[in-house]
Amino acid sequence: MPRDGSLPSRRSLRALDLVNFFIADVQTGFGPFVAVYLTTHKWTEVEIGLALSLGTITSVVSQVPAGAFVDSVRSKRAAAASGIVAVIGAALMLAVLPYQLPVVVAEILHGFASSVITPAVAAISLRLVGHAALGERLGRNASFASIGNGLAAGIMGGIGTYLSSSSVFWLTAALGVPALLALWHIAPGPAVLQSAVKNGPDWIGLRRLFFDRRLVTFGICAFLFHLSNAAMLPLAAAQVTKTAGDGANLIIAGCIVVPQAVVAVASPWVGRRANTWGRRPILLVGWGALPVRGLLLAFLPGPFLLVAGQSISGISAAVFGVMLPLVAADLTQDRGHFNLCMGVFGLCVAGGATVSTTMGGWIADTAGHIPAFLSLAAAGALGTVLVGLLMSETRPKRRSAVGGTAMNDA
Amino acid sequence: MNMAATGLFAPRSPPHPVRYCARPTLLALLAGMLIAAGPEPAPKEPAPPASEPAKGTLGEIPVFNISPDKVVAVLGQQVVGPLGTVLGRLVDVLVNKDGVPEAAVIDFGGFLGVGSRKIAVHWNTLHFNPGDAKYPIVLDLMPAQIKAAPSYKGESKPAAVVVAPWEPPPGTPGAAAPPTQAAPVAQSPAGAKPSTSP
Repeated sequence: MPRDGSLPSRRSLRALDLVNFFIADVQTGFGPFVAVYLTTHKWTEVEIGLALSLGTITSVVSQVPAGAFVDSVRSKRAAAASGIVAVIGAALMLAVLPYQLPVVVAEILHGFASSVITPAVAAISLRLVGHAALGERLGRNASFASIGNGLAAGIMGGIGTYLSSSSVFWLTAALGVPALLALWHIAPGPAVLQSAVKNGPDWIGLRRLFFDRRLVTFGICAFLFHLSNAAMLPLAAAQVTKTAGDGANLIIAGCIVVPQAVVAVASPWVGRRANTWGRRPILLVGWGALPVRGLLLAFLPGPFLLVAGQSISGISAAVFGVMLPLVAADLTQDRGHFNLCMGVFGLCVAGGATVSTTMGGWIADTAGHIPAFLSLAAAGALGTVLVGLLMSETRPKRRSAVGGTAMNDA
Repeated sequence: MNMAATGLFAPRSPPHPVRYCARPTLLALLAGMLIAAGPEPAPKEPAPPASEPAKGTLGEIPVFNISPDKVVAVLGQQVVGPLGTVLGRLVDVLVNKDGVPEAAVIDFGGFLGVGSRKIAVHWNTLHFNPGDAKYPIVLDLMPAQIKAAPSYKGESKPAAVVVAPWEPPPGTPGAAAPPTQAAPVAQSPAGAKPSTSP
C-alpha cells in the first residue's frame, strides 16, 4: 500500500485503534438513555424533551462551525482531546447534578464536543496514513468504534438496569480517560497531504468546495440515508416491547449489539473494497441495504427475526461510517477544508436523523408501524437511486495502485 | 414537585415547547456557562430532595408534617409487578377536576432508553407501600395485560386506561388510600392542597 511520506509507527496505529474504541464507548451513554436517567430524577416529559432537543439542535448547528474550527487548529490531537475532555465534563455533570441548568449545559457541551471529535479523529487518521491508505484505515476505525459501541451498550445497559442509572455516566466519564491516553500516544504524524488539512481562510477553496456538485449530491444522499436509518431501530424496538413480553429487553439489546458486530466485521472489507472497486459500488451497497431492511422490519413476523432484519443495518452502518470521511477526503484532497467538508456532511446526517425520528414516530402513531417502516424504506430507496444516478466516482484517478483497475468514470 | 420546572423554562402549552423556549434558554445557558466557569457548576436552585413533607413551622404559615413512611413520592418511582419484578417507572398521574387520581402513566421496557413504551393504568390497579424502598409501588396487572395494553400517547389524546379485570367498577378505591399524595404530582401547579389525612 503506497503511502505518502514515511510510514506511521505501529504504536500510533494501535493508539488510533484504541482512540476509536474508547470514543465510541464514551458516546454510547449519551443518547436515549439520558431520558431514562432523567425520568428517575423526577423530570417530566416536557423538561426531558426540551433538554434533549437542545442537545440535538446544538449538534445540528455546530457541525459546520466545528468542522471549520478543526480545520483552523494546527493540532488535531488537541482538538480531539478538548472534545473528549468536554464529553467527560458533560458526563460528570449528568452524573452529579441532574438538575435543569447543568443537564442542559451538559447536553449542549456534548453536542458541540461530538461535532469536534468526529472530524478531528478523521483528520488524525488522514494525517497519519495519507490519502491512499485512508480507506483501509477508516475501515479499521469503524471496526474498533463498533466493537466499543457494542461492548459499551451491553455493559451500560446492564449496570443501568441492575446498579444505578447514574453509574452509566460515571462509567462514561471514566472511559474518557483511556481515550485521552490513547490519543496522547498517536505521534503527530508525517505532514502528509498538507493541502487536505491546511488551515486559514481561503475563499477560492471554499467556493470550489461548496460549488462542487459531488459535495451537494453526497450531502443529500447522506441526509436521505439517515432520514431512512435513524428511526428504524427505535420503531423496531418499540414493536418488540409491544409484542415480545418478557425477553423484550434482551431482544432490543440484540437489535443494538448484533449490528455492531456486523459493522466490526464488514468495515475493514468496505475500506479495502472502496479502494479497489471505487466508491460508487460500495455506496450503492450501503444505501441499497436500507430499503431492504425497512421492508423486512415491516413484514418479518416475530421479534427474533427482527434482530435478523436489524442486523442488516450493520452493512449500511459499515458503509456509511467508512465512506463519509473517505468521500470527504476525496473531495478535499486538492483544495483542503477536509474538516469543514466533514462538518457539512455531519449537518446532513444530524438533520436527517432528527427529521427521521420525528417523522417516523408520527407516522407510527397515526398510521401504524408498517406504513412507518415503508416510508423509511422509501427514503432509503430514494437515496439509493440518487447515489446511482447522480453521485459520481470520487476515488482519485492517480495512485490507483491497489486494484489497478482503470474503471474511474469521473 | 419539580423544582426544575419553576425557573428558567416554565413550560407552556405542550405542542412546541422547544420553539417557544429555545432562544431564552440559549441566553440563559450562556449565562449558565459563565457561571459554571467559576467555582462550581451548581445551579442557583437547591437540590431536589424529592419529598413532599413540609417540615416544621415557617413563621405564621400553618403546616403539618407527613413522615416519609406515610407517603410515596410517585413521580419517577419504580413500579413492580405482583411478583416483585420491576416493570417500569411511574412518569405521570392523570387527575380529575377534584384532584383525585384517575390513572397513572407507566413507562416500561426498552434497553438503554431504546424501545420503551408508555401505558396508562387505572389508579386502583396500583398499591402503594410507603416506607418500602424496594417495592414502593405495586401494579396488579399480569405481564400479558401490560403487553396488550394500548400505548399512552400524551395528554392531548384520549388515554386508553387499563383497568384491573377482576374489579370492573372503576369508581371504588380498592386498596391503599390514594388521595394522600396524589395532588402534588398532577399536571396542576405544585401548590395543590394536601386535602386529606395529615
